[in-house]
Parts: sequence; structure tokens; C-alpha cells
Amino acid sequence: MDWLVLKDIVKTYPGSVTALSGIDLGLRKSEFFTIVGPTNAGKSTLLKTIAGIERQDRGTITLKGRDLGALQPRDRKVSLLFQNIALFPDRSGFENIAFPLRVAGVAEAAVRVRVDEVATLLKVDHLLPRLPRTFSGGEQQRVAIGRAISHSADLLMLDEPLTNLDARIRIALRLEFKKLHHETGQTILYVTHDQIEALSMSDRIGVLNNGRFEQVGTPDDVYHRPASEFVARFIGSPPMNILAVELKAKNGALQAVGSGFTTAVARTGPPPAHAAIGVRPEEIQAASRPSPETPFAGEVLWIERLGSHQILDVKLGDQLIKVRTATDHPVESEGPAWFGFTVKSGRILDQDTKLFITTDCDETDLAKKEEFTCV
Amino acid sequence: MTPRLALKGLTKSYDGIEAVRGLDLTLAPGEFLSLLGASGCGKSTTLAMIAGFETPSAGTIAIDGKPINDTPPGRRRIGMVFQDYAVFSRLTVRGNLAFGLEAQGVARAERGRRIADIAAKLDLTTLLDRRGASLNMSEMQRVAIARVLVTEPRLLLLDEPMSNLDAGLRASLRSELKQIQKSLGQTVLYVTHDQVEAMAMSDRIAVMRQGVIEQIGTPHEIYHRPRTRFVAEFIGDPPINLVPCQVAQGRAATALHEAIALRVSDAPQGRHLLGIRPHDLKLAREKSAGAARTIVRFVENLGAEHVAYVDYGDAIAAAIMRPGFAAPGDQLWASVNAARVHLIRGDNDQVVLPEAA
Repeated sequence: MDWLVLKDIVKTYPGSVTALSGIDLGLRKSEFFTIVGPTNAGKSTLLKTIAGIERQDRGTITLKGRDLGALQPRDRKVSLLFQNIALFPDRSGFENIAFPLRVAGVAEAAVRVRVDEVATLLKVDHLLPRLPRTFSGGEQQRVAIGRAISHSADLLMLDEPLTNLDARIRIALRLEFKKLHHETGQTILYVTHDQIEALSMSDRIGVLNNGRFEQVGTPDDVYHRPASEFVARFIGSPPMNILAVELKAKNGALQAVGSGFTTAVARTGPPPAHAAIGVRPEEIQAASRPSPETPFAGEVLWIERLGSHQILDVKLGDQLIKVRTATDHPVESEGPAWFGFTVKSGRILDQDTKLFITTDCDETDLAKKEEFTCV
Repeated sequence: MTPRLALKGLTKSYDGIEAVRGLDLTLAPGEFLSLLGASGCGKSTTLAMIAGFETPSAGTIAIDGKPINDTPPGRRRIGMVFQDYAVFSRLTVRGNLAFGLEAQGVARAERGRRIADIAAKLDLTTLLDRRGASLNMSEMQRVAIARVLVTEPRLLLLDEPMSNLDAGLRASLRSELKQIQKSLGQTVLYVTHDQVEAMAMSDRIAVMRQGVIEQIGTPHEIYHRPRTRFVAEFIGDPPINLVPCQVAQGRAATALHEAIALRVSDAPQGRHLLGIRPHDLKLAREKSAGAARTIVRFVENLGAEHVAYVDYGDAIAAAIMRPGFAAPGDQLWASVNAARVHLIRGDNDQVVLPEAA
């Protein structure tokens, strides 16, 4: 039985702007689930609906077996932390963290014990007697998290909690969230537009676009086996290369023929009329000379040297592709170079539906399309 | 050659607190330089003084050798692109490009000529009659830049233009921005807290901290030859591992590795820190010379690569690995790429620089 169950949630705003169009989702107890998507995908609306700040037009929300529909926000046992940290400026770190406990009428001695626990966990002991204006950005955020988790909730929801912080603090806090989750076993629903936050922290990810999930799966699923072109382009930086191809059978094997390359295709379903392939920048080999592994001639237009690795902008045929290489790679300057890649399983895109073909080929497909063979 | 921009002793104080302290900096014509630092380090204040929105408390700002401290912002011939690009959504692209020229009182015929010229250079010719609201982000970036470049600035300032955008978009926009800058030979001063942006686009990076430049150099120097602990820690995702070590006879002993050969001559004896980037802590299933046994505590998925957090003495260290190479609880052998470690003095946080390779 899932801990949180959303069934067919629909939300439309005046002017018939559809924010959520039929969301189904089940969260397991102690799961770290992240909803990732662009601005206006419906991420925040979904959180507010669960918290009871917004009311859905249709559908049910069940948390720990209770239908939340009849419950006021304060009775739902959910905690929501927003992007903009709003600590009480005139109260100490201690009183900020203690606030939800005080509202709930928890006894003074128990408040002290709990605030100390939370402060130790988040390493903010030294901030307890101080006022928020003396905190750094990262410290403010940690105290705000402390306030969100001090009173035990059945569900902790975080809405872009790292978005307004510097890159440096984000990297540190992303790891701390993961540790916090590991240590508390709290069920977390996390919202972000940052794909690295989603990949690095989550047990599962739901990629939301235009009010519906494009894909729900583990970080490995959405990164390596994206369901749609949208997911392939949204997850990963730089995004997956999507290259138009013609699929052709040759000597019993399937080949993808594109501009500037012809390469082997792993097992796939029935080939679509208009096909493209998806290749991650790190799945492309680069070399300064042609070889069986790097048979395609291309031109390196620009190299981003990022220290830990490099990103090459490459002209291959009549398209631009991104290629990721290690620092100290032999291809070290702009100009001609050689490349190679194959098409991994699940990486044929139907350009008409914008969905990747997920079914492996079976006998019936083969019977229908006799020129097409499994490899 | 006269520098395009020269800052000398540039200082700004608010209520006795110095936000920028005696900054010296020069940009050569055509150079792309990034001011990189955390919020509050003084980078945006520096930009605001150059643009003329803030008055320096001390020091001089010169463009092509001429001081401009007393020149009003509109006459400095400096262009500025703001966060999120802020293209006028109701105006056409042509209207956006004409805006600055009209404000400067440029004659109609001259306006038309300059707009056509910049539109051709930035591949906007077919978009001139589209409204701002209908543009995608790549087009929006080009319009925002063209709108400034059409006024023919000596220097282009960009203040964290991409900080609110999605990662995939940022990756493509930064390479487009770099292409434009290179092909036009435009001098650019770029402000960011994002080290990836700074590394990707800059000819040189100035790392700022508490109102001063901590180090200035090429991206390669900043990453591979940081001069201070601060710079070593600021650059790199995941951040560099700082491991206590004991140095004797040119070798460093850590809690895990007994003898890491240092490439510095006259390595100071005693207790210091060893900076090991996560890419330079190698994990393997098989034992090799110098490798030490460790255990994986947890794993972070970064997409193209994964980070294993492993025991390192009493602490945890990050090591980059192939996706799926190891799982929490796995026992592995960890070795250090000695050629790439940084020795950081325990007494003053300065890096003991290795001889250049």
C-alpha cells in the first residue's frame, strides 16, 4: 500500500488554463521522490494541492490511508517548505525551529529536546541563540529546513529550496538533503527545475511537463532510458543528441543512416516512419585519427574546457552535436576529428509521437515488416 | 596595447564596510573575463561601478586609457545585459533593437543600417518582425545581446544572465554566447557565481572573495594550479577533497595513503592539507601499487558520471566513477593521481605550487 496516493488530479485555473491534467502517482513510505520540470509545468500547483492551499477540480489524495479531501491544511500532517526562505526576522534560530511545535502545543521540555535534535542533525547549533539577519544564505536555508522538519509530518514537501542559492551552497546542501533523508527516513516530495538535484538525490523522479508526467522512474531510468524526446532533452547537461535517421536492414542487421554517419542499432521495436536516435554526449567516442570505433569525420568547432572534463561542439554532416571527453583527451583543439557511436537499446525516437520505442521486437512485428530484422 | 578596461585601486564602501577593496584589473580588447564568486563577494558592485550605476569611493575606471569616473552612464559606451535577458515582449525584435538607438538619438536611416547589420551577424534577420513574446530562449539571448551591441559598446557587461534557466538550455546558450563573442571580437566582462559558466566561456577568470581578487588566471590555471585553499575549494563539482596529511622527504602520508609523491621541490615538512579532486581519486576492484582499501558509503548520480562517497580515515571523500561501477557497502581499492594533487600549507592556506609541467 502506497504512503501517498494521487488519483486523477485535475486542476484548471480561470481562463481554462490547465495546470494539472490527470495526475496519478503513488509514493512509498520513506521514499525521496522528486518532481522535475520547466517553469509552469504544474509542479508547485501539485504541491499546493496536496498541502490543501489549492483545491483540485477532480481526483483524490490519500496520505497514510486518510483521504485528505475533507481535511483543512493544518490537519493534513504535511509540511511544506517554499523557495523563498521566510524566517521570522525578530525570532532567534531556536524560536524559528520551535515554531511548528509551539503551534501544536508541545510541552516546553519536549520542544527543547526536539529543537536540539534537529539543530544537531542540520549542524546549526551555533545559530540557535542568534537572529536570522546574522545568518548566511546557506545557514538561513538550513534553519528553514529545521523548521520544516521539527514537528513530525507524514510528508515533507520542498518547493525549489535551493534555487535562490549560490551554486557552491547548492552543491553542499544537495548532499545534506540526501543525508538528512537517509538519517530520518522521512517521506519527501521534492520539487525542482534542476535536473542535477533530481538525479543526485532521488529514489525516483517524475518528469512533469504541461500538467502531466512524461515519465516516472529511477534516476537511471530517466537518464539512460528516457520515455520521450522531452525527457531526453530536459535531463542531462548538455542534453541528449537527437539525430534524424533512416533505418535500414543490411545483412540481417539494422542500421541507422543519418547525416554524416551510419551505425548499428541495438534491439528495438517496429521502426517508425520518421525516426531519430538518441545519443548522450558521453556515449560518443572521439579520436584524432579514423579507426573502426571512430569512423565518422566531423569538425570540432569549439571546446569547453571545464577542468574535470570537456564538452566539444562538433559539426557532423549537416548537424551540430555535443561530445563529452575527458581532460587530456587527444582531441585537444578545434578542427577535423573522428567520431563513433552506436544506438543503444531503447534509443529509437518516433519523430511523429516524440516517444522512444520501448518494446523490444517480437515475432509478430517481424512478420509485418519483413525487411526488418532483430539484431 | 592600451587595455580596453583598466581598474585601479577600485574601492566601494557602504557605511564604513568595504564591499570592494582596492581592485586592480585590466581587460585586453576582445577578451572574455569572468568575475566569479559567491553572493556578497563584491562582483556585482564592481560591475555596477563600471556601468556607472554606483560611484566608487576610491580608485579609477578607464576605457581605452581614458578615465570615465565622471562620465555619466549613458555616455560610457558600455553595454549591459541583465539577468533573464529582459527582452521587451510586446515589441518586435526590430523594436527591441531600435530601443537603445532611439534613446541615443541616432538618425532613422543610420538606425535601419545598424539594425540590419547586427541582425545579420546574430542570425536575427528573419525574426525582425516577430514579437519578443514569441521567441525561444536562444533567440531571446541573441536579441538581448544584439540590442546592446547595436549601440556599438566598447565593453559588454553581463550580470548572471543565465542563472534562472534550465541546465540543458544553459549548456547550449553558453556555447552560442561564446561563438558570438569570438566571431565579433567583443570585449566581455561576465559576472557569475557558477564556476561551470566561468570555466566554459572565459579567456581569464578572476575569483573574488570579500571584495578582493583571490586569483586571476586562465580556466586551466584556476582549475589545475589554484593558489589558495579558497580557490581550490570554489572550483569543481563535486568539490575538492581536503585531506589532512603529514609531509616528510617530499612525500605526503594521509589516513589512507602512506606515501603520495609530491611534485613540489622543498615541500614543507609537517602537517598540511592535501587537495584531491574527486576525478583524481580512482576506485578499482583490483589492488594496484599505492592503492588502499576503502568502503563505499553512498552514491550520488550526476547523470554522465556518478560520485562514490568513500571512507577516508575518519572522514568521507568523493570519488568519480562510471555509472553503476559500485554500490553502497562495496569494498574497493582507492588510489590517488599524485600528479594532480595540491599541497595546501596548514599555517596560511596557500597552495605550494608545483613546477609547471
